[in-house]
Amino acid sequence: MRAELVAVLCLGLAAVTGACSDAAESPTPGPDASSAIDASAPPIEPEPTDGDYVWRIPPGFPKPKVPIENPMSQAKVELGRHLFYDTRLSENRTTSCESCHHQELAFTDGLAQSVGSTGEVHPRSAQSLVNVGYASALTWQNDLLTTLEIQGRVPLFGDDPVELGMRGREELLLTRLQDVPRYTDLFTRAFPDDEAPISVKNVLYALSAFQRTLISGDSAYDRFLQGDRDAIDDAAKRGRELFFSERMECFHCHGGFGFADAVSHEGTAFVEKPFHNNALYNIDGKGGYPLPSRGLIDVSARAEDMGRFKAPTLRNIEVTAPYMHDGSIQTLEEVVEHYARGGRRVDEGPGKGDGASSPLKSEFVRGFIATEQEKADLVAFLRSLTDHGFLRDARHANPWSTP
Amino acid sequence: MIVRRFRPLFALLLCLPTLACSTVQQGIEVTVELDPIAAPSVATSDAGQPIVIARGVLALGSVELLPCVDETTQSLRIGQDPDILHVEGSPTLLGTPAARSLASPASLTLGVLRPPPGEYCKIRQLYFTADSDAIGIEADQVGDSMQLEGELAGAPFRLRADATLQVITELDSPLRLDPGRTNTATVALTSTPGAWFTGLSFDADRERDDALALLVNLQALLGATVR
Repeated sequence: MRAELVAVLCLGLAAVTGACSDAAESPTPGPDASSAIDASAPPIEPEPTDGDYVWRIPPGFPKPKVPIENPMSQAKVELGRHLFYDTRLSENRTTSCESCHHQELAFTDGLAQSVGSTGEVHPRSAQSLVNVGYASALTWQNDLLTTLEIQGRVPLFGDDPVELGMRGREELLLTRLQDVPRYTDLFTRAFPDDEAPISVKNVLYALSAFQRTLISGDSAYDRFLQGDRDAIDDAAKRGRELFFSERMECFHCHGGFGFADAVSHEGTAFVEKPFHNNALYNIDGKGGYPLPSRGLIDVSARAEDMGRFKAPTLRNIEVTAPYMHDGSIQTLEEVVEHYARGGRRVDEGPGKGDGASSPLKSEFVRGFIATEQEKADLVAFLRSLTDHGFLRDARHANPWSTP
Repeated sequence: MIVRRFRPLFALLLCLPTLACSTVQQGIEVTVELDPIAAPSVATSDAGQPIVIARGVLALGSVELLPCVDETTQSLRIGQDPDILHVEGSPTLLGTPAARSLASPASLTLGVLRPPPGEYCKIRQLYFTADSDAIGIEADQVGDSMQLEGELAGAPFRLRADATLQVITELDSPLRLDPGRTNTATVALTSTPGAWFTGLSFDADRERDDALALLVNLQALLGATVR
């Protein structure tokens, strides 16, 4: 039962790809890397390395934690990028990881609830993969998926809901990959010590390595922090004041370099995996959330975990609408209204109830009285967290689009 | 012999108390007082129904003097942890929680700030959910930033909110604190009578929204002054 729950949960941060034709190295739909900017972005201080992989870590960011069994390498990252954009990884060759994680949308898909390769609608929204290498909780409501290597199995092999639909088709997957000459080379270089480098484990390892490179830390606000006082406008500066104020409390769950609180990195002594009830629903007066997605309780079975979800990163939040685990809030302005009220009131439907009165809501979701100008300023600050270079970074783009 | 050898030391020791006594602590003190909140003399709902206020509280969390420099510049501490804003108290911020009654004319001397010399142009009040140690708070008011009980046309009502409320008052003229000239001052949190219940529906199903509307109305009536 537990395994089933795990398989069902969370939309999948990682994904896998497959190409549209068998042996052909035909490009798959996706962002055109040729139009991407040069990723030689901002100068980044002493470049830490893992093997031959050179991290490009923004100022103020720590080094990501990498599992000892899956060290970084440039070849592995490159292989992972190919897999990420390859629809061969779905049983019916329609869907890749990128299908739900578009780079230009900060690796989300713009949908309230994602759709799997068979058309099945998922219970939750696709989470952003921005800085996922730092995430101590990888999905909206599952605290058991602790590494990307483990989590990657969910979109690939999960069947409730079906994402890529490869459960029981592992051999088919490997055969498809073996038939692509480019993969023969990529796997061999990524896993030179393996006698049979094209394996499910190595698919998951490569995808994980690629995802760890999705580091975003060059927004206008970052440049402001580094001393460019004109990098953000006055509205964003006022919004920053509000964001980090006791009055609005935003920073408690969305603080730190990642603008998230479920963070782990090299040197982290105590890994926290906080989940929060942000008062979206209260269908029974006791804090209940509607099915099919009720939060951490669906995994833990603990009553107090009702409605508790991961607080996502706010980096690039401007491009990741709609918001919340079920995509039920459309705009940042509405998000601010939700928190200003201290919870959402739903007047009809299965979510009917007043979340603000939930006995389970987070102590930081109390509501606040703010002027329209203040609310607009807060949104302006959130928009200053968009890293436009990251969204077009050629290093993260579809490799099948380039010769 | 011994006395002669250590005579300079004895002399120094004898001088120490004198030196201490000659040091003058020239501090600046700003006393913070809470005036009674002026309840409306005649209260009615938007529908014209009479309202009687029986009991109520607004939970004050902090009072802060804001210097006459650009606020944004002031607190944009580039490169520092933004959490530094999350402080309990400072020379310019009095973080003593207290319950301000919405039903009885109670005043209170809340405490004393010892700000650095300078000019202060604004007073910021923040109202939070009350802790149990807030001055004057009652047990059933803990956890709320505002509670108001009374009767509407003879029927009891109770409004509760846990939302945070900020009131910033720009002083008519800057409070200039200058050692040797103005060493003491009193900041009083004031209020003006006004319409508390405009925009409230008193629909039992809309209690929270009514409570938030009441907070907005109160925000417009609360202020501060320097005496």
